[in-house]
Amino acid sequence: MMLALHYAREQRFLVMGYFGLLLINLIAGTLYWPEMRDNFPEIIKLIPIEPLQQFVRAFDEQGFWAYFSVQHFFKGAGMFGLAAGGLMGSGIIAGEVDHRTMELLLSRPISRARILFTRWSTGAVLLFIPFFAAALIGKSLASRVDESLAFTPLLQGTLYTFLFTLCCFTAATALSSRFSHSLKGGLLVLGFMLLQLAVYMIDKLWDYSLYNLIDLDVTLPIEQGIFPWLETAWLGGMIAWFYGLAYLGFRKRDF
Amino acid sequence: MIRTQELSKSYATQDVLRGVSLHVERGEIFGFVGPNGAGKTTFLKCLLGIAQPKSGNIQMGGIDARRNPLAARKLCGYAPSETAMYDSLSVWSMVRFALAAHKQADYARAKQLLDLYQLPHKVKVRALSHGMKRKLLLTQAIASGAPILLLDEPMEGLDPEARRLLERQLQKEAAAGRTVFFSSHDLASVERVCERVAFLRNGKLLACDRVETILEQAGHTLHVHLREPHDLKQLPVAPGITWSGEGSRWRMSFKGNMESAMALLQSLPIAGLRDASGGLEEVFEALYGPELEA
Repeated sequence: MMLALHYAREQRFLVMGYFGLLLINLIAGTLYWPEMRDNFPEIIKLIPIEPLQQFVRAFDEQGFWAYFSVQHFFKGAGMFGLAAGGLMGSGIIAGEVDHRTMELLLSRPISRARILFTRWSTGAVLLFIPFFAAALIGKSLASRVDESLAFTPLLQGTLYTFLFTLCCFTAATALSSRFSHSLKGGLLVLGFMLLQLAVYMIDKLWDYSLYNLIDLDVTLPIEQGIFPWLETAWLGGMIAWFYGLAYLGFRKRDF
Repeated sequence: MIRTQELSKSYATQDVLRGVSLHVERGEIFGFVGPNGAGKTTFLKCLLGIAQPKSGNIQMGGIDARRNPLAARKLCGYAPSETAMYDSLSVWSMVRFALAAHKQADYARAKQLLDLYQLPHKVKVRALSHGMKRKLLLTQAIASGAPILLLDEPMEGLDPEARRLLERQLQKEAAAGRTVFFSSHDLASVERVCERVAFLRNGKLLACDRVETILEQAGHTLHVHLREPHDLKQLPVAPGITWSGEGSRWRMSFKGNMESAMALLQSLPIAGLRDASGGLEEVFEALYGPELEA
């Protein structure tokens, strides 16, 4: 418990920053929705990139759920969540090495498996709480613009897209177990995912981007009760694989 | 309580420990001495499972520490040489964090030690000086209640008064049955506190014995000031004793114990006597001289 509390305390400013960004994004986005709702044809003409045009067409056809999905699930999980998860994960092991406190931490009668799991699971909870809280705030904001969000799809969408953030966080954790600089792993994950986002923005190439996992093709059907089980299994497998790599890297490493 | 057999450790191509075998009994204070880079910290890290040995065995309180490092760590209170800690925590929070995993931790004792070392409980760790951080590390190690204390350079950064305080503390801990294993560059402290000492060089154990035995083997030197000038022929002779000097000022070098030497001196009109034996410093120089000169 002490280990988890200590880690949570270390991450508090990052988590607050993450929550703040999610809220700003949702509040600004939701308040802009009425203006957008009334001017879709003009807005589409202003957008030069085909994938983004498709987003706006979906808003026009599918309504507020599509808009909210892009604002919170795609941007929130795929950009802000990626940044928060990458930075948080990269410090899990390497941060202790960087701050020269690993020796003190490992000298205590706690197994490395427990240290890793406690920190990783605490990080996962710290990433989920702001994401879910922001989604609930988004639900209450929707009524201010004469829209509504059903709770069940909102919860399902939040849980599913959180897996994307968790996957980035766990990938950074895996890299963290091999590095000694607290930001190195996170920056590598961020760099890789920015490349994925760039690929997503290129017509014909976007099918090859990992961002397909959280775009409207996946999140829109959730409102109709179609949960993306296959994608969930894929993300779950990746998380388990990255976690395994993190454990293997940490288990035998000399400090 | 601690037993290693042929313990070896390499980093990449560099051998840091080369077949180190030693044992430390329960209730013993054991000094581990060597120049920088000799492998002292690596040895301690291997005992705790922080670093993985290449080969060899480690037994801690009868537990195979290589197979079961967690069980071995439960027996150990550790103060690393590195004084980096969680700067944002207060002194007391840091102690609580460090002791949380030790089931036998004594928090009342920790408070007493903090008071003894004059460490303010509520001050942030970042505000502490190097020496105060050292005291904090020692506090959490001692208050862990673990039967084995592993201390890496515990005297480093401490003022003479704090050193004496710690020396007395370690003697009390040993008297209470705890095993104290500490690495140090402070040979005077090692000589004062330790029952046995081991000398490490380039990862190899050069010597390991009782402090008195090592000092006896190294020999003693007494500066003898006589009331009137004497010739060499007038000075007492015994096997192993050599005299140098002239007139009323002589230097007596001998191996063996001090008592027999004093008995020999009783026949002389002594005006003054000074023990000029170098102690472990002298032994250290003899063992490491060529390396240090290089």
